[in-house]
Amino acid sequence: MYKKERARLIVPFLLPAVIVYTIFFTYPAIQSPYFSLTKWSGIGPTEFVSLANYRQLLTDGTWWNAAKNTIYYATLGGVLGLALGLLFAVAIRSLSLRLGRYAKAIIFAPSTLSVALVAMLWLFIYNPVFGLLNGMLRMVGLDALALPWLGMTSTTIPAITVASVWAGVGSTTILFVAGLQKIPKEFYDAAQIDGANDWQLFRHVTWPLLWEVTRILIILALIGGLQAFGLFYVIAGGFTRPDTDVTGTFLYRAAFNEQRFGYATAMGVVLFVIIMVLTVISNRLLTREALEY
Amino acid sequence: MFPLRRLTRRQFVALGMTAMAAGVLQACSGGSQAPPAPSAAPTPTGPPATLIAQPFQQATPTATAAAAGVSQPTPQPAAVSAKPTPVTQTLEIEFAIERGEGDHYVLSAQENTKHFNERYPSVKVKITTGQKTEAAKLRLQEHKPAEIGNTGASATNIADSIAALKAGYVYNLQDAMKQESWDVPGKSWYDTISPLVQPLIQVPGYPGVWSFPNNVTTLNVYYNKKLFDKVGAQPPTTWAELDAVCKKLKDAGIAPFTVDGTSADGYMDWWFDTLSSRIHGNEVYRDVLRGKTTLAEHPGFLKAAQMVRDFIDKEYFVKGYSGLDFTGSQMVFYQGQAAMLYVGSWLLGEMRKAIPDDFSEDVFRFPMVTGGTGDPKHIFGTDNTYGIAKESQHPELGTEWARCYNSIAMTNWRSANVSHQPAILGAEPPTKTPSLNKIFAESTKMDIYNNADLYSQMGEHFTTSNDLNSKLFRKEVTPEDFIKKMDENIKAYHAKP
Repeated sequence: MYKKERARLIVPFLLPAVIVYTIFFTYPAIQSPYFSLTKWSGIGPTEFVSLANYRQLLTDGTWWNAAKNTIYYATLGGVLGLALGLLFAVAIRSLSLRLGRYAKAIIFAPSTLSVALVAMLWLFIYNPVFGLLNGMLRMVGLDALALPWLGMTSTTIPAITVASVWAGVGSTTILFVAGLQKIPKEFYDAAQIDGANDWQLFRHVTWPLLWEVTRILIILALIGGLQAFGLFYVIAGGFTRPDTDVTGTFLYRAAFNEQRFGYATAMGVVLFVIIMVLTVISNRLLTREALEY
Repeated sequence: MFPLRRLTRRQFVALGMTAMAAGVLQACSGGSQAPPAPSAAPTPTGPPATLIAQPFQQATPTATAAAAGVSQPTPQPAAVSAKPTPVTQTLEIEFAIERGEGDHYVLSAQENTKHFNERYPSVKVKITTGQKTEAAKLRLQEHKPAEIGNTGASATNIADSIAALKAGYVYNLQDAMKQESWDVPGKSWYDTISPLVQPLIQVPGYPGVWSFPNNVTTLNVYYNKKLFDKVGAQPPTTWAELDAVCKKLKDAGIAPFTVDGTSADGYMDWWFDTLSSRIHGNEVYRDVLRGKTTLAEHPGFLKAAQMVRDFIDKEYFVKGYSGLDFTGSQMVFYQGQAAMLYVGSWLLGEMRKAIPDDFSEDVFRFPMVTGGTGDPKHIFGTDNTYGIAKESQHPELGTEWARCYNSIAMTNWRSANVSHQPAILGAEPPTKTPSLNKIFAESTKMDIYNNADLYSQMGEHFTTSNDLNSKLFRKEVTPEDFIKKMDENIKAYHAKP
């Protein structure tokens, strides 16, 4: 009886959110597949072309290169971000409460910056003539390493990945710290009594008990990496090169610079499916039996 | 509490699914409909406006336009005296732009509004900033556009312009342009516009005037006068002289040139394009883009690519140039770390807050190539235009605001305060670059840089061209491969049905 009354109350509260979600998320998501079957410049009527956009995507070298770059970026960024986040979290745990708070604030600060600000900051850092990075390298006599970081195909994506990790590691660290705090101290005490060293403590106590947090962060890093756009777009000033495109920037250029909205929508649909499938697969693969303590 | 029947879980799910199904039906029906028919689109005369198939009228519009069979505004009769529309009630018009507050275009619009309100005190002008192109297109489709904005049609972006004209979005300024200029008695508004700019506010195949000029941007070589004085160099007029100046600068430890090396936005294309125009004349390259010939058939194009490569091999571009974006490159110039920059005249307006007070600069025309058959007085540039939206509430008042914008007074204000190069005859040049107006006035022909009127129709093939030029700069293709791949790219475009 109480449950039925409560259910009746919930409906009016849920309905506005459902309506907003339907209008701004579900409706565009449903409309997109239609546009992906058309040729449209963004102005005027659409021209139905069936699966022509998808067929073109299969043979488009720029798309496959962008996909490759996206996977590269997602993998590199994910591994680097998670490793650094975990390292910082473990280090913070070993600090006193006060120092730990300061450390958390410093590490988290970049996460509060907007993507545009991060991009502008790192554009200046990477500037080959007067940027901070090359300036420091020249100061210590490493002129040969003072490269045009954003100008070479081999260094552009790693350079942008570093900027992205710098901006995002704060959130990862905070989540890892929260996960670490949940682990009871008694487990470490017991392991130490059994003669475990630091590495064994990490390997057999910390890592397994932190797995749930790690799993979620891996999935979030994967999704975030595959949706890469903002940093690449702003750093390139809105004109990304095909060799350093990621799928997001190629999609944007196809739509807004080349007026191929239908084709861009097809890319969007494909990306959506890929991200969904990869998320489900990684969720399945990474799920382990939960440890109750 | 609420007069609802009790909903079971099944009923709630059904309600949600119904809402979603309604959304699906709306999506499918909405997507297949064309936008509601706007007012009648202008009927083009002459051949269909496939620009690549027809020549584009240029600096002598009446002669070349007649040859192309394209209508032009007829020579102006004695100017009709302006009769300002008597406006007594309070009305509002809107100027919308994608730029933000403090931007030089926004400042120009604000200043123009003050001037406009001296004659139209009861007309309120709302200035909307941050309206991206996508939002402007949406407003056009919803038939609620701002009066003035980037909603015109021009020869600088043929593909979008033709689409806008066919959709009936653009107000024809032809009759308004016959009115007397805002502040030049006895001269029509149209006749105060530079003859090099007049063709750009029209669209081939669509008789009329479809936009009004904001400012001209021309490509010139900006140089640091102090660095030139340091090595005793003078602005060169030939490529060989430029080479010699670059060598002097390099020997003195000064980077001769800086360039935007990171992005595929067309900046690096200008070198090949301009050298080609000096060697062959730009019309040959435009014939290549029209599919009438190829780059390989004219050895001068390979020579142009080799000349670009020669400069790179001689390290005349600042070290690390391939890692510089356009802002970084411009800052390198203004920090005195490179002596020259080949760029458009938006440079001063864009960088005005970053230019040191004691920085001394001027411009010179891109040098001629000895033995080349191209016109040495040819210049690449464009005109930034605004248009009046036909379906706005008060297009006539928007037109008056535009007429004020093209006054000598306002053009001079923009030259002096935001360093805009004027499109209006008789206006003053930006103070920092006294040679700018002289070069423009002496130019015999202006083509849109990047030949964008042709390339803009080529979609992804334009991107490929930009990319190949940037690869030439990064030494990722040889000049021979560059020519071959450019030809393949253009051929691939023309091979499409």
